[in-house]
Amino acid sequence: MIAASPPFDGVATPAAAPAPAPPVPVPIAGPFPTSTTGPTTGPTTGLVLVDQLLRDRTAVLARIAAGVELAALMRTFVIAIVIGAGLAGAAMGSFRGGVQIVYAAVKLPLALLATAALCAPALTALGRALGRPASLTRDLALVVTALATGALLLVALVPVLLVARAVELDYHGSILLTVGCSALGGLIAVAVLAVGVRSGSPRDAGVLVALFALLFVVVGAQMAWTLRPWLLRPRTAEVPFVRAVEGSLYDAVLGSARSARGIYTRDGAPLPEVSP
Amino acid sequence: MAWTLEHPTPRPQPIPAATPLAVACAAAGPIGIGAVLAQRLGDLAPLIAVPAVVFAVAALTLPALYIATAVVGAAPPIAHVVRAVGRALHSLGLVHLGLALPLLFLGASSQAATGFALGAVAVMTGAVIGLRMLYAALFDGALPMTGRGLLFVTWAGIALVIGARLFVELTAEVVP
Repeated sequence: MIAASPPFDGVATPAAAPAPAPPVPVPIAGPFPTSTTGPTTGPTTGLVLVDQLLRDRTAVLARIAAGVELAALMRTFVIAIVIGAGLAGAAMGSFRGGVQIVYAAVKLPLALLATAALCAPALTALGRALGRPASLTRDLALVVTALATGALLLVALVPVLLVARAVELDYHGSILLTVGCSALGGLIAVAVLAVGVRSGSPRDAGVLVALFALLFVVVGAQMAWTLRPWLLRPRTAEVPFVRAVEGSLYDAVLGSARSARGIYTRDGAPLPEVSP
Repeated sequence: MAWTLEHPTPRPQPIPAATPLAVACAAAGPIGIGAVLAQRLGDLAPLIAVPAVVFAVAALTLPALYIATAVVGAAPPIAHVVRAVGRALHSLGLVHLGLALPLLFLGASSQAATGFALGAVAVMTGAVIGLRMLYAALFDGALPMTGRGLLFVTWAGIALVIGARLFVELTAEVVP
């Protein structure tokens, strides 16, 4: 009985040792493979899906085109937008600091999601009007996916915004930097949207993307204008969550253009000095 | 090159008859945009003006298009034209329906004049897409023909000018 038991040191005798298993082939093409999980191998969710969005957008767009588990996809990407845009908003609010960090962190995801909710039905309607196959669910998923990509890019740009704080960039410089970062995020989102629209059907894809991007920019800019302040002027005493509605961004641009020509319409606007 | 049995030519894709939903979209779109503008301006005039302009311009100018294209031998059969017009109005209505919600937000957060201008842009966008779809429904799949595109573009330009003029006339009193 004792002779038949295995040795106590755990070393098997050569006769009892199993044959070495053949190496299992690993389907990895390179050191940093892109995810190959597509709609045919089961839908991904959570962080895996976010990773897939960053590294293998084709698979995500194919999943949207196939309409696989879009509710789970949208849930994940809405959370990504809330977190990503929240971080970017907090970085914007850090120009003033204090409660403005929280306000901006809440408002930026709100602005993105509200714009998506207002504009996604238009994407479906425009697509149908142009004779393309269109589905509200798929279009909403595509818009959310594009926005999630933009929001994640904004997260990548957070250090740039924080460096601006570190070097004490002035208010107007910070505004320009913020607008530039946001525009970059928007461009990436439009690029994702364009690929997604084109993969659905090439018919009038360029026209559709151009129209929708224009609408999204107009509505998004107005939404951001309505929900300002984002950075807050240093001389402002109180920190409001939003300012009172006092006209649109386009009204402000037109007013500035008139002011630039010396035409002042507001009672409180500074009047140019009249030389004797 | 005319649409005759003796000289058969490739014909445009057949268009299915309009469904009740398509008819409802064609009507609801302009009414929706008109309602948004009426709400912003506090006057019912745009609610009547937008659908009136769309359907009046269609009724006034489409016979001219059919006659002109028939004279040059480019007109499809009348039944095809009618269905193509239905598809174009459906597209126009869809665009207006899709833009109504963003326009509601933009109008509510802008001055009245800006809201009105954005509404006019929305109406025009729907009209241009409707015209594009009309051209596609009428002539896609047909043999290429010199001058047909120019004829259509000329007609479309005239229709847009008439529509813009009518829209201004009908809303002149309510624009701030």
